[in-house]
Amino acid sequence: MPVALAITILFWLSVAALAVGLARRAQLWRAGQPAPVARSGLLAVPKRYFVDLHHVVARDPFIAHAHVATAGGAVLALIVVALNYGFGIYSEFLDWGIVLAALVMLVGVFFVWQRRRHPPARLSRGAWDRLPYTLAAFAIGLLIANALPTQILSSAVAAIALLFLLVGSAELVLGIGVGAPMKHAVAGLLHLAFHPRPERFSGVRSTALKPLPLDGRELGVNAPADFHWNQLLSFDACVQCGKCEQSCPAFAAGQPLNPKKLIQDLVCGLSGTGDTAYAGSPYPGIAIGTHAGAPDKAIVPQLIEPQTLWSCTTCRACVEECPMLIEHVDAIVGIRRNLNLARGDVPGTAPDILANLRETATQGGSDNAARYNWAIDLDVQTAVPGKPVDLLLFAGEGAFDMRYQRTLRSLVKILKAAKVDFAVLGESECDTGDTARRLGDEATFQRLAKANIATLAGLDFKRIVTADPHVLHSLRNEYPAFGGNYSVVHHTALIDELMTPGKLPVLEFRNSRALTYHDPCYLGRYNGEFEAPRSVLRKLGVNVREMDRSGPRARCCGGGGGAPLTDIPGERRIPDMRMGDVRGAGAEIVAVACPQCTAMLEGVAGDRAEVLDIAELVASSLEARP
Amino acid sequence: MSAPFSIAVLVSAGRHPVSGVPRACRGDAVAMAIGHSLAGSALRVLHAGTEDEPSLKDYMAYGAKNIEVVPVREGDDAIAALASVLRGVDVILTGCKAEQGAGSGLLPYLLAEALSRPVIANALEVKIERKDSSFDARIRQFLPKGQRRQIACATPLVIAVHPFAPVSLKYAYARQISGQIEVIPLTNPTCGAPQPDWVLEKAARTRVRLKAQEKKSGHARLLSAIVSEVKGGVVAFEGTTVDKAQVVLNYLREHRLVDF
Repeated sequence: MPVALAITILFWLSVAALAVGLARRAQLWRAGQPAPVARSGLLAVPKRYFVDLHHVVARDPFIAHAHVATAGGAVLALIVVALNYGFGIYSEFLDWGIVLAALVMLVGVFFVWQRRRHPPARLSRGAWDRLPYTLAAFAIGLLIANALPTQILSSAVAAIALLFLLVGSAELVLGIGVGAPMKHAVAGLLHLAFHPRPERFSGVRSTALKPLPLDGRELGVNAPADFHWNQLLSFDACVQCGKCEQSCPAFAAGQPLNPKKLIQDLVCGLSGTGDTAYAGSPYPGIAIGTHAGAPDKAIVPQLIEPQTLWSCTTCRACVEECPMLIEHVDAIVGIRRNLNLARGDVPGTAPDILANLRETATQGGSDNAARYNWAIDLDVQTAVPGKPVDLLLFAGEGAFDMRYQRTLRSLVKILKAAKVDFAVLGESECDTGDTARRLGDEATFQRLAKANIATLAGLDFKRIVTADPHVLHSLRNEYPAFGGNYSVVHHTALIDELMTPGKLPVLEFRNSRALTYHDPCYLGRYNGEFEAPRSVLRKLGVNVREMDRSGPRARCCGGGGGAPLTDIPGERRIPDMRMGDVRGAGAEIVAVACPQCTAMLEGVAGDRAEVLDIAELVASSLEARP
Repeated sequence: MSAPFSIAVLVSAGRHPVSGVPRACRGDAVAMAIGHSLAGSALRVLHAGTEDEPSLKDYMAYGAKNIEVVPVREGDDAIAALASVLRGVDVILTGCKAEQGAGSGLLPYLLAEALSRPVIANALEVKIERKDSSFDARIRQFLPKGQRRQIACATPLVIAVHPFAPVSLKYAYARQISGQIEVIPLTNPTCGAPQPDWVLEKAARTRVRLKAQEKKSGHARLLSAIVSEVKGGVVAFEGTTVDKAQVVLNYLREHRLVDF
């Protein structure tokens, strides 16, 4: 049977091509820095694929089903072909298994083709557009070769079938070697095995940045080869679906950032090519085809312009949406670290703020002794060593902002009404260094973190409460790497806890105006706290009108990651768009839970909803005490 | 990049005005940035003081690869010590004044006097041009009320740089850890400089009087100027102290003098 023999030969040729291609690509990944990975990750790939990855893909059921059929059919077909032809069984019964799998695949390919006929703007075109045809060729080739009885299979038809198979197999196995679309299958599975944040697969929201050793060598990422090798691998996993682009607030604002393009540029960097073949949306305002890189050449500015990196608000919307679980924010902060620490190149007012942090431990260059001036008439005790308290209030930079002081005063009022034993940190509090860290200034962050950890080590408290999700994220998630382990609670979670019957005498919120809630990125996506603020609002008797983008998919206010400081120009402002979302929900009040969000949303000009912190809403609903 | 002329910048121990934390004196850091733009790594960076001065780290981060320390102790004559080191240097850059100590801004003048050369203060931009066998400095000088002046002056000279000079300071941690400090041995240590005889005390804060903002039309204001009108107000005789305090608080809130 010459056809069967041809398939056997083709199969083993394909396996060889795949092996050679993988070895070539692996050579590129190996240019990266060593990273601690567990080989057991390879065994965990099926679970990670079917549970963790598919959980994200399933948010778009159409393409999820299309992919299950296409990839499932292809994998099944390949397994049976391996058995039947690879090992020379040549069983007709198994042939029917191949036919069945090929049919499933063909159905999936039909829907992929449907999606590609009128693709949404986020999808990349170019080489990706040929996938439905080459995959269909593979499926049809299998069908003809296996479904038709050998008697009818004339040599001409057999030749056509083999030609189809050849085209399909080339697409499937050459991708990894030449960097074509199908590399996503191989790189994606390996990425799942050697993910830079494996804890994500055990249900942990791994959002803390990794500490950077400050002992010289390369500080941060200068060239693509300065990434860890598994980060380079992760860039190769990208399928250019553009979910990140769709969710990126900076892209929507017309700022020169597109997470998908950024990852693709890094792929160009690791493979030593340019971006002329890229067929997706550009960075707004920057033409495609002007970027090129090499593994050991500096990324900025030949491969990625600095303004692209400084547009990011580190809101993690892209990471939340990425079906391949790529960590865009880690890559951006990695390059920012090098720009900041090695070159001192930071735009806008950020250098002044960083200098203030170094010199005064506050962002505004304020007198640290004035940090708790807002509480001067509230009769609040300051924490002192040797005097135990239940709760420690950590105000953060918001303490210097007259608007946010109202929120802090409301919080104190609530704590007093609930008779909580609490103290404020007083002038020994330093900035947590969150902003410095997002701007890449790891040195200042580590210094501030160590100062705060030393202060907190001398105090006797059970928990820390803060009204600032950025403080919460630093203290809860990033200080443990430097030896500070605390139980930190956000004020909304604490208020929710205190509102259990009897503890806090609240009345129903006496206001008929429609209200919506804006999820702060650092509370929601970074810490997974979506429920407590809503629960507080429910207990106040408020019916929250949810915005289209809320919860894990909430749009950023534009205030994170030092973006208001670097202030990269765009066509629109991110907070204006968010206020548009509020308007879209028909709300006249937007409840917030973060000083950055408060400042950004209140900075929206013109007619807008009133911005009130949840603490203010609760404090205004407290029963007047006799 | 090496310059055919010799150039040095003097950097002082800065202190943050609010926190008092050691830092690079802003004016000196700006002068150093101008020096780097003129001569690159050929710029000598000198500090008169002690080698363990913490603020020197900041200058390294701002781009000083090697800081030469002229050992001067408290009470020594820094001018004489600096003059002995800088005698052969064509262009000497300084900031306008120090952030601690006397901070009188006299150093560039005294130094120029000791070296018998001209001094140009409040420089915003500096260009050094070759002229025949020597060099000319072309300087854009800051004057009040937005005025600027171009000055040309032959080297050697002393230039005091204005803190508004248009340069961007780039602070890089990597340079801070790679920078070096070198102490210049002085042949004849001098002492006995006149020190200002004064005592430092905190500036008294002027009290801001709480005054209700009047929102009146121009016509009403004119009327109130020419007609004596009855001043409004309430005299709170009745009630407890809490009630009286409430009257005051209500007034303050009504006129937005407090925000709680």
